[in-house]
Amino acid sequence: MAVKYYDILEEFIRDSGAEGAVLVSVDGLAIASVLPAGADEDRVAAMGAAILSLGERKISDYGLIFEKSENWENIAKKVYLLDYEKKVLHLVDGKNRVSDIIYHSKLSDLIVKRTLYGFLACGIIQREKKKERKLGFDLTRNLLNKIISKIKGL
Amino acid sequence: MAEKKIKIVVSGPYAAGKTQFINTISEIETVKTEAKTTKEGEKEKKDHTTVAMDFGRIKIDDEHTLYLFGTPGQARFDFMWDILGKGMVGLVVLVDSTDPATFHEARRIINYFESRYPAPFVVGCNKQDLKGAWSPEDIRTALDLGEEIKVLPLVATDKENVKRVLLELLDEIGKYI
Repeated sequence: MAVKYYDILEEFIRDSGAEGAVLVSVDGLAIASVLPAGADEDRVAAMGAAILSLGERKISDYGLIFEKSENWENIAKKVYLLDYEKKVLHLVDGKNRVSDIIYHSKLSDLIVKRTLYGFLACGIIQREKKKERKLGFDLTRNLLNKIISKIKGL
Repeated sequence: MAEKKIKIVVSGPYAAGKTQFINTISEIETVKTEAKTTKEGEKEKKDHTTVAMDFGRIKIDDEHTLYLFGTPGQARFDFMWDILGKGMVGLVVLVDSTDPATFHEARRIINYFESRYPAPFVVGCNKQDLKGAWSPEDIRTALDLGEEIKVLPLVATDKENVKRVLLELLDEIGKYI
């Protein structure tokens, strides 16, 4: 099995131009790696797992909506985007939820979340700024004032 | 006339002080659903924990009553967040300012409510009286919140403090009427 993993990692490095690749378990242990000399496999694996878990937490909800940030085009020019990343970016439109992006891109949950987290971290996208917030109760100005004076008087 | 219930939800990570917040302000003795803490890692922090909800009440007039619902903090109770979030007019998210390890969880809770029940919300940075408390501005950065969201200092045992946080939330709610 490990040999297969090496083949996949080698292929990934060839296709992406990355310097190295590590297959990591969710708790940060290296399963297989192809790294340049001098790189510490354990350290790269632990860092990778930490970044993945951050992505998992930041993009914790399938209902979240993101939009492109104001100067996204400038940032996008400076970073090298892979095809699947372009696909995800294209689907970030201020309307699609994370679940819609996963559905339409046909990519795995993990890849989409990780990509969105990367975009968020480098400022290409941002959380949807809520223009309209919804009150779950038909509150009148008069009633709100009553609540405010009641609380002030407590 | 049937009583009309207005609902504010108080949420936040484990041990952020939600039960205390509601206790401090409620007119009635808070209805608590606390059980003894048994999980390793949780029981070192406190003896009892909320398992369904906390529940405080403030009567507004003959017709209306304001209810404060506190959610259980642990993520395994997130089904309760859903039940409590329905129909709320506003949300208070509390964080323990001395425990940055829980900030990610607070962000998760905000994400949850924002994508389902996008009511106005404020963040209360509790335990500001304790040593090592992060400032509200640092907590804003850690939670990645925009300037438009109020991130307020708080000591949940102090009534004036709790009142101020609720009033700030009501002020936010007023913008959407």
